[in-house]
Amino acid sequence: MQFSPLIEELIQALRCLPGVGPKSAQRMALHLLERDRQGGQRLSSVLARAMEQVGHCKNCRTLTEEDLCRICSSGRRNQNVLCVVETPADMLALEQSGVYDGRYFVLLGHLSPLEGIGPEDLGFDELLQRLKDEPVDEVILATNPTLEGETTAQYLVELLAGLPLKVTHLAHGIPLGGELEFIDGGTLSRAFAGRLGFATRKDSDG
Amino acid sequence: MLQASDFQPAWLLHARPYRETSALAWLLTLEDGRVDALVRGVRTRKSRYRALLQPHTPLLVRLSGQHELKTLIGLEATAAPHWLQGEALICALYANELLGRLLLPGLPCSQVFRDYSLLLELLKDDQQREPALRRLELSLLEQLGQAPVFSCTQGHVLQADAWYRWVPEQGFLAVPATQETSAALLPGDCLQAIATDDWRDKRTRQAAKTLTRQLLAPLLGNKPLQSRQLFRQMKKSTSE
Repeated sequence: MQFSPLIEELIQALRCLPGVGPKSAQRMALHLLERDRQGGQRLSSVLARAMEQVGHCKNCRTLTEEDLCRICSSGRRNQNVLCVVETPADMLALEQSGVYDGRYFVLLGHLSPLEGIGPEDLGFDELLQRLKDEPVDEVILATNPTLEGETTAQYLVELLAGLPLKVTHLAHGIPLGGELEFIDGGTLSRAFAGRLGFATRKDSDG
Repeated sequence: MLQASDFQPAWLLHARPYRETSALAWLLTLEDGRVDALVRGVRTRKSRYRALLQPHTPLLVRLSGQHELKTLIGLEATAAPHWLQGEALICALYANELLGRLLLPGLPCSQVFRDYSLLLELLKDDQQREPALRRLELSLLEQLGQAPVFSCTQGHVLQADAWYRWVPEQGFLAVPATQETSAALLPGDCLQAIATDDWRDKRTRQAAKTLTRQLLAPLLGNKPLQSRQLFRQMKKSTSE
């Protein structure tokens, strides 16, 4: 069956969402039109507002409609630590884990020569400026364990080498609940290289 | 290629996301040369291939499909990835970019494969890094039919004490040493050393770098290599 042009257009437009193919888009469109007009109205107005107003935090570059995101404007965060992540989703993952109470810097990507993404695209100048202006003692590089993430981390290590601060990198290891038998060689070799010593009696006494 | 080939050694040069959960992989394989392959579902949380499909990991791949774009249907890693850092990492990115841009899909290039494998092995060694890169560049040029013939434009043997200039499509032109002093001039003894794969002299490495740059430039066109720029920017940021 052929839908009228406006409905077709709606179905096409919904397909820009991740995980939405032609069938799901059609279901969504028909659901909104048949059963939930109110929900549809709300979705369209919020979507329009969000697309218009959401930009990037001036300080950490994450997504927000405010000048400064909630983390940057909070007075409770540890000002001496800065964590560098690739995407807002990575930042959210760290926030949800609750392990970190410092501030962030979101690169919005990673260095990838083959995709034509260079240092100028990732706001390294803004990062350097922030490190000069703020009392940061430690920069934690939390880029992904991929070639691009590693390249980005290495570049940052070189870039920050001259500054009087500690640069650390998240450890690579075996996932929780994992079994060695099923872990790939790359992860294992990384975990081996980064093995930690147990605190011996001598260490704990002394 | 048969509809579904056997497992063969391969390296991943680059992978880019495709649709939601798949990836498009640029592979360098031993038997089929550069192959572009679709890897379905590799970006899902449960994918077993996710950790394996990384550059600089020695792989065994099985491909299927009759068109230029293959589908990857089997993947194993034969050893842990080469963990590279700093300059070695950028050099590996340079090699990936160079091969990704210049190798045409579907043409066997076992020598390039071997030299690339050797390069990853040798990159960690400061002394071996440059010769390994030059060797890869020269075998890539050979593969593309652009390798230099180490004789002068008149067909004579290169003289150790003479100076030469590379002239595209003609060869090495002998120039009087006093006529001009330029970085583009290549000493004869260094060219002889390059021809015999002898990299002990630092001057030879410098001359080879100049030569391969001149030879690769027309093939790369006016789009500069991003990894070369990255290398420069990295050097600049450390020297500041």
